[in-house]
Amino acid sequence: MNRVALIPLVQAKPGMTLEKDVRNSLGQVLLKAGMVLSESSISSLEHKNIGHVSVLQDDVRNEEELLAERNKLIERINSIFQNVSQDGTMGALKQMILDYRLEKLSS
Amino acid sequence: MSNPIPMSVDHILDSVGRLPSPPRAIIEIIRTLEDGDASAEVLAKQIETDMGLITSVLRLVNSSLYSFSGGVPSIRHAIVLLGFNAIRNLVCVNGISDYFQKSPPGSFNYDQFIRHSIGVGCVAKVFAKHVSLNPDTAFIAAMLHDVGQFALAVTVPEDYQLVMNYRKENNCRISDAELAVLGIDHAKIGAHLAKHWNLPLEICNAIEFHHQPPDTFSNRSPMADLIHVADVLAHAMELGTSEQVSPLSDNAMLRLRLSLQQVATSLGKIEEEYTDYTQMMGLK
Repeated sequence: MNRVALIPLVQAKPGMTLEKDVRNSLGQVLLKAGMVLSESSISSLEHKNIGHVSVLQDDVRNEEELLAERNKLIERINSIFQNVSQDGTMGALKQMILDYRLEKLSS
Repeated sequence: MSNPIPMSVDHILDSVGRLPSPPRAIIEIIRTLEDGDASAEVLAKQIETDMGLITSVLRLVNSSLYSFSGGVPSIRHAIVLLGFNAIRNLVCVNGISDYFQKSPPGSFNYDQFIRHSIGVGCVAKVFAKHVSLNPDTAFIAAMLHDVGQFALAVTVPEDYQLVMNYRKENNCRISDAELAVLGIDHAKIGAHLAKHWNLPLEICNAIEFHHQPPDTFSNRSPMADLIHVADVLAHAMELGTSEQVSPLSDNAMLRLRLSLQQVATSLGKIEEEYTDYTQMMGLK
């Protein structure tokens, strides 16, 4: 199974597939989504000062790791929302963010 | 506690007021963001008043353009080739982040600060059109909304360290720590500076009221409503920082005619904008 990951360019390796277009500071597309990275395309991105790329990666996480990530996320969201009301708008906002991120985590 | 006693509010405002402003040219461009008759000619002239800006725009444009043989020799060429809005936005966003980056190193975390500011900008941009606000102005207001935090960290670093300590000890939001220690928060400080720099009123309002947009009819500010909502969402979505969120104003949401359902369907788009911007700006 594949998952989408935003990785620092230094972690990009030849053979990885771009999940999103890579753009420069003017919003111009440098490399198109779907392209497979090569040594030369990575070094050209380094040259253009690109910090991160979105790539497809094999999902190698097992059940335990997923659960740990899930718990960490829940803990962080609880901490972000700790000093506001847990009902009403803020309660609903918290639930909404949690649903969105948990779904993203497991997809 | 044997903590040193911080300065008075007047003294702090005085110290903060001595902070050098962003480059004159950037301030001028921001002041004319809403002018209907802003033209390529005027923008070129504004950029050309600042040698540093000319160099950085041409460097950016030339380093990212390989399709134009011979390079882009002048600001006017850059505007013609890339478009007025693209260049204006690039100049402002880069100018402001350069300004923040040139701060003396210390307790101020530039990377987190700029990421959060861009995060707020992306949320504001996504919802600006919804309420007929100019997305470019909204992005700039967002880039500057926490300028008061930057000013405090740079001009009164020892006092600001006390604020940081207080926040850690009391596990509270930064603005509450500022009020407790200094008697004034970064929103007020930021607005004080923005007025001092003659920035447009709607940007000053957005900075001053980003924690609590005013509800009284005479003080209402759509830009403050927008930046407030964007700030809360950027914190909630962890764009840049994992700090505690402030309460969202239901009234601001109503005035923006924005529902949580609409927000929910925009989360993906916001994250995409955020990734694009941090990528464009080469944030590692």
